[in-house]
Amino acid sequence: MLIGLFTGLPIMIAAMFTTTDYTKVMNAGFPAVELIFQATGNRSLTMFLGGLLILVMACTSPHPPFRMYRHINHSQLTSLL
Amino acid sequence: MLAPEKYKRFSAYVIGWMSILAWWLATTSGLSQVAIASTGLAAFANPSYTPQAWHIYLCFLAMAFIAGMSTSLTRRPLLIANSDPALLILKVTARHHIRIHVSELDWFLGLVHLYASHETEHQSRFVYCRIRPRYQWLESRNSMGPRNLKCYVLLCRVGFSHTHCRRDREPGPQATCRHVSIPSPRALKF
Repeated sequence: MLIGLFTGLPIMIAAMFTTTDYTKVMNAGFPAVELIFQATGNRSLTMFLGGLLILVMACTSPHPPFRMYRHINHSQLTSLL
Repeated sequence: MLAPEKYKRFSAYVIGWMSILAWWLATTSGLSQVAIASTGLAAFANPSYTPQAWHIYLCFLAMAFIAGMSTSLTRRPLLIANSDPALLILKVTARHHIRIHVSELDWFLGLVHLYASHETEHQSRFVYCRIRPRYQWLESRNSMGPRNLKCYVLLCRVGFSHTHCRRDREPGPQATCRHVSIPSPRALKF
């Protein structure tokens, strides 16, 4: 939570200062990319950062902790059931 | 743990299911977010391109496939011989990539069914509808506006719970849909 606070808050404050057209951001297909574009003004850089954002989103997809049964044996199973 | 002895078993059951549903929703919403973001980035790169529902769903499927393959390739093979049947079921269902592939198979079967019956049982415009904003916050492409929600609900039902959508007998484009649940291989995931 603290990491989110200390990384997300500065970005949010910076975005408030750099956003010029909120309607465009709201109606964009990918609002974060429109936000970056308004902040940087560079299309190539926006594409790169948008791609990076998607990569991060894909890599941080939650992984359910259901691997606990991998090393279980029969006696443990019967005691569980 | 803290529940009285009488309610301990029931509490554990409820909390276990809550955990499973939470992980399930978090995983699918993460993949869905990546799919929507990818098509949004494509729309940014090419302003004349408007993402459609099936484009987003295709990206979703590709993401699920990549996630499933990445875990499949890094796992050791499952030893089937000389295994207790109950233990084998538990071990198979405990493997994340198997659950993902079952979900993909379920989705694929649902999609085939959707296409095979689109003329008689439901309207193809649900699949081919354009994802575009009509109002401000509520209907931007990334939010769940009523129109988008209708598409997502139909596609998600077909994909994940294999729910059958059958149009009522009377003809006309505004005929209402009746939903009948059909058991699916989703149970294997748990």
